[in-house]
Amino acid sequence: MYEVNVALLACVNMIAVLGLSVFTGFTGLFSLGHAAFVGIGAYASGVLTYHWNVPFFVALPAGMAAAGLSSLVIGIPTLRARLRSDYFAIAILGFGEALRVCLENLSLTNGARGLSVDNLSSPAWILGGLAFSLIVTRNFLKSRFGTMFVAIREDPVAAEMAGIDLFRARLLSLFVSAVLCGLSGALLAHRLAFIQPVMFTLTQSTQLLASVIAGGMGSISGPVIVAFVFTSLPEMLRALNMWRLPAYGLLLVLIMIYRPQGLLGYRELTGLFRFDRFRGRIP
Amino acid sequence: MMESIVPTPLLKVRDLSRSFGGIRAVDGLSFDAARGEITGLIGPNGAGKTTVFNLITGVCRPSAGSIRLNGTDLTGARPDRIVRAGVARTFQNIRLFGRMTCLQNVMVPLLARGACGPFIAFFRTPAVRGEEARARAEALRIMAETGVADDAERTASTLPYGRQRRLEIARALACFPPDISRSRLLLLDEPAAGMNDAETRELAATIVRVREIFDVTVLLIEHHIDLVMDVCSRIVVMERGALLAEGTPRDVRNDERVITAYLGRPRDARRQQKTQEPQKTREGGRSA
Repeated sequence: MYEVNVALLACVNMIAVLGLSVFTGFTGLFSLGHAAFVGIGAYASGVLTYHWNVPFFVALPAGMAAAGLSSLVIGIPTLRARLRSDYFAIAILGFGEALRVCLENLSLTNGARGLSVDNLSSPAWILGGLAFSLIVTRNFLKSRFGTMFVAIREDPVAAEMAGIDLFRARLLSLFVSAVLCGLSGALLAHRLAFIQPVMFTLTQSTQLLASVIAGGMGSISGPVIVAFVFTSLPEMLRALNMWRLPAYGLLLVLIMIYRPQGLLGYRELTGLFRFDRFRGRIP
Repeated sequence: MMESIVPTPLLKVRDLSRSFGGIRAVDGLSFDAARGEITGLIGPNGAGKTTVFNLITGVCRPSAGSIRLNGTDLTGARPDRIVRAGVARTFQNIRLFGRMTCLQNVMVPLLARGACGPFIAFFRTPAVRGEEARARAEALRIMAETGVADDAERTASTLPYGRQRRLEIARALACFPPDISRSRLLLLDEPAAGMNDAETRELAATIVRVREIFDVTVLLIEHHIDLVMDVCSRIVVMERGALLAEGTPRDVRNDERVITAYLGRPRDARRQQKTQEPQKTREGGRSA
């Protein structure tokens, strides 16, 4: 039963990593604040079910919508200003920290003590959410939007000269990735049945980004597999106690040295997700 | 100040200026590009030719002056709007989408102006598939006309240099929306750079053919002077950001200021000049 729980948590994490992969792996913008969108999804849905007994099937989309809307709040000013990728990562980092402070001080969210919600995320919800996310993301990245995102990642200037509105395309990418993170957050909150602002900080954002980089840029399956490993590995290594974190760090270092392109950089594991037109090796 | 320099101008550039810090990269430049013709833009290195392209395509904003395409003011407009108005370009240092296939590279501009919204893209409806199939067919047609169809499935970054340049031309041609057939301006920034003579001749033939098939007006930056003389009907010569000379290839070839800018002055002529106009002697000795 414990293993099943760990696996389900890993699945929840996979959805968030999938979301960040759209933004970082395919559109080429780095983010150190995507945990904030997970947090918004978690709190928006959690507050709804906790305070107003809203049914889960309504609270879940509400969490996704809240994450999506908040992505516009941070995305419109920063992406319009055409902040370079690293500056954008810092801007969104600030957004994430500001959000944590808000969550800690609102009475609605029960402050830093955290919110105890009901355990509503059944395995069916989690697996269904993951399957839905995978299919929708695959379709989206296969569509003209995915092609535009990859063009922006490869060369923003040439993409603009090919008639792509950089601002709108990047904002759309951020929105989609935030909605997926919001879904992950809503499922997480109602799986753990307890959420705290400190769960959605820079540490969590970094872990999401590490999964995307280690899994491989421009890949769906790579980051998703790595997300599973990164969530379950610390649990499997629990017997090693204090050595868990060094082992995790060692794994990251080994990936950087032996597979700098990540597990599946610019490739996919199966034909299910393979984009024949994104084929290609690292030059 | 100037009305039309050529009979039917598609592109009108007037008093265009752009400074970077204290350097006036483009300094009060005015010229026209005649509709349906190939106009050459030449000048010594650092004359500001690529900056002119960057100003026309909206990569950077002009400090002063105006750019009009077929009567529409494009001065300082957003790059993607300028593309929609009918301006497409290639780059001096190749800028392909390296990890995409060649076909994908050409499909990007076609898909960028697609009609399908994000929501239906999530569900891969028949409309999405149909739009993709049309873009694919159109891209293959353009690639066939520019001679890169054989490379359709290859990853763009693995192509040899010369064919990367051709692929850039194909991608630029894909940028033209179908409804603006009368105002298509193609900007080619040193398309023959790094090509040998045979490749350059082939490229010249491609440029001429592309102009006819796609009904485009071409503005061409090039250092291969033979290519420029062969394909251009008018030539604009720039030096230090300003217009030096303008006219037919024959006019320009015989223009003394142009010869001086490229080759410097003959020694005896320079001495002669020195006695006549002492203030102009500093121009001598500049090389192309």
